[in-house]
Amino acid sequence: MSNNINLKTDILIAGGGIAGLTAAVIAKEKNPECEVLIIEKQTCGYSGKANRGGGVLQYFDLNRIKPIEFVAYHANSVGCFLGDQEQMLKYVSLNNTMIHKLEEWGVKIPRNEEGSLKIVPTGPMTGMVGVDLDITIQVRRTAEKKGVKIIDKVTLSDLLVKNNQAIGATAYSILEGTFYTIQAKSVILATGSQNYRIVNMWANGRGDGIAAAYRAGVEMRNAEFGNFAQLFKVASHHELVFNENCLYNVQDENITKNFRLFPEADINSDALAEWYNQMSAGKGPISMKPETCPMTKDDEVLFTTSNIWERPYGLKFWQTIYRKCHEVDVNNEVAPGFLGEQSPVKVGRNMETTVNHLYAIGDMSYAGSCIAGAVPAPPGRNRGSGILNAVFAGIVAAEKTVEALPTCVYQELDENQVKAQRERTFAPLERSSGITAKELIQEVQRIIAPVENSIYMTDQRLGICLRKIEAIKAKVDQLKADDYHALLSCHEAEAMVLSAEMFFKAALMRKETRGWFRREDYPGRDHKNGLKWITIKNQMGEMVMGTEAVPVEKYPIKPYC
Amino acid sequence: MNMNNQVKFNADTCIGCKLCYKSCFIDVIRWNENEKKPEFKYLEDCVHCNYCEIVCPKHCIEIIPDFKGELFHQSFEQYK
Repeated sequence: MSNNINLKTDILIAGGGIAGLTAAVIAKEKNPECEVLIIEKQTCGYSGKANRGGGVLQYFDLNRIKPIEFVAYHANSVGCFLGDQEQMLKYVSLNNTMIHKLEEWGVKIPRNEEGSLKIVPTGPMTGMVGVDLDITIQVRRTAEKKGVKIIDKVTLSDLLVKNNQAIGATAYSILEGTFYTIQAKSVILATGSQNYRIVNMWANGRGDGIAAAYRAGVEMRNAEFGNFAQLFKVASHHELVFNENCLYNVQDENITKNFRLFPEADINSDALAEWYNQMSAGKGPISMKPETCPMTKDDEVLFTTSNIWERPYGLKFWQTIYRKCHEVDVNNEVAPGFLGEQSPVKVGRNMETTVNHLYAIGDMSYAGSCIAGAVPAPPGRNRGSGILNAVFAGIVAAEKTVEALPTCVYQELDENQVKAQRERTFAPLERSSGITAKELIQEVQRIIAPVENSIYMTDQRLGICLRKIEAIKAKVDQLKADDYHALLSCHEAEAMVLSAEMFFKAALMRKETRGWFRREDYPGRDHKNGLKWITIKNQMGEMVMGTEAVPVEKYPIKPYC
Repeated sequence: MNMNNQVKFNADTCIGCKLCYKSCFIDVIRWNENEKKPEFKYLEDCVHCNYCEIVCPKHCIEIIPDFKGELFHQSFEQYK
C-alpha cells in the first residue's frame, strides 16, 4: 500500500505546460497572497508541447489590421461559422500584450537590432514570430520566483466534486505511487489534448485529464474536431511543414497543385483526403518535392539555422532531429500521421467548465471553448496559435479564479469519495491477469489512425469504428499494470478509448463537410442543420449526445447563406 | 511502442546533473539516487525527441531511434 499525503491550496493547477504556468503566474500577479500549487505528471518546464514544436507565436500587426478583420477571415475560411467570434476577437486583441508578457517572464523572442519583432508572414493578415524552446523553463522560473509551488512527477487521478462544485482533486506519484488528496478552492485543468500516442513529438497528449473531467460530470463539446493530422515522411516520421502543394503521385502528377493559395491558412484536410484518393486509385506512393515550390524549398533553414531567428536553445534540438531523420529518409515518400488533438472540455468565456470552480485551459478545452470553430486544437490551421491560445486561456481563467477567491471556502471532503478514487486509481495493480495498456492502446490506434476512418469519413466506416471501439471499451476493466509507469499507461489507455468513443459518436452526428471536418458521403456544407455544436454529457455513466445551436445571429460576422 | 530504441550512455563522464531525467517528457528515464545516474528504464516508450541528448552538458547520451519499429498505422502498404 502506497503512502498518503494531504494538501491544501487556494488554487490547484493540474498540468505545468505553458497554459498551466501562465495561469499560475497571472494568479500570483493578481494576488500575491493566494496559494497556487501546480501538479505536473512529468517535469514542469520540460513537459507540455510549447517546447517541442516549431517555436513560433502567431502575430497580428494591430497597427495594420483590426481584430474584427481577422475574425471575419477566420469565420469564413477556417472556423466556418462554428466559432465563438466574440472570444476570438478578445484573443486577437490581446495578441501583442501576450507576446510582451512572455518576454517579461524571461521568454526569448528574437527581435531586429532596432527592437522590432522579426515577423514571417503566414496568412492574409497573420504572421509568426520565433520563440526559443526554453520557453517553459523560463516561465517555470518566473512562477517559482513569484511563489508558485510545483510538485513534479505527480499526475491527476480524479476530481473531487461536491454539489457540482470542484473542491479538490486526487493524484498520485508516477515514481512510487504516493497518493495525494488535495483540497482546493478552485481547480484549473491544463493537462493537454488527446493525441493517442501515435505521432512521436506529440506523444504526451494522452487525454487523461479530459477523462478525469468526464468522470466528474463535466460536459464536452465539439469532440468531432479531434481529428488533426499532418503529412509525415514515411521513414523518419518527420513532420512536414508547408508542403501541401508539392505532393506527387507515382505517375509524377502534382496532385495538390495550388491546394494552398498563399496567402492562406496552411495545413489542409483536402491534401489528406487526396492522399487517400490517390492510394485508393492505385496511384501511390505519394512523395513530396519541396524543391518545386518556392514556398517550401527553403523551409528547413527556419529551424536548422539562425538565418531568420536567433533561437540557440531550439537550434540544438532541431539540428539533432533533422540530422537523424535525414540519415534514414532515403526518399521523400509521405503519409498522413494522426495527431488527434481532441480538446473537447466545454468551457464558457471565462474558461469555467460546467462544474463550478473548475476551469479548463490550453489544449484540453480549445474545441470545447468554441473559440475557433470547425478546426482541431492549435495549431489547427494557424501556425503559432497553440502557445498563444494556451497563454490566452491561462490569463482568462486565472483572472476569473482570483476574482472569485474571496467568495470561496474549503469544503469538507467526502472520505468515501476519496477512498473510491484511490481504489479506482490503483485497481490495475491489483489484477494478476488481463490486458496491458500497450495492447489496448494499439487496438485504438489501429482504428482511429487511418485517414478513411477519421479524416475522410463515411457513415459506414464511422459505424464500424464505433462498434470496434465499444468492443475495446469492454476490456478497460481488465487493464493490468505491474508498476506505476504501467499504471499511468492504463489510465491513459482508458482515456484514449473514451476519446475515440466521443469522437466517433460526435462525427456520426455531423452529416456534412465543414472546415477541417470532411465527409466523403456528405461533401457539402449543411447550411440548415450544420450550425450546431455537438455536446456530450456523462449521465450516470451513460454517454448522452446532444446539440446546441450556434448563436450566429449574435455574432458580428454572419454566414453568407 | 514496442520499439527497440537504444541509448549509448557514458557513465564515466556523467556529472549527475539530472537534466536528462528532467527533460524526458514521457517517463522513459528514471533517476538512480544512489548512483546519481540516469536509468533508461522504459526505452521501448521513447519517441526520440532527443531532449536528453541535447540538454546533457557533457554529451554523455546518444539516442539511437528505432524508426522502423515505430507504428504509424498508416502507409502505402495498406492500399496495395
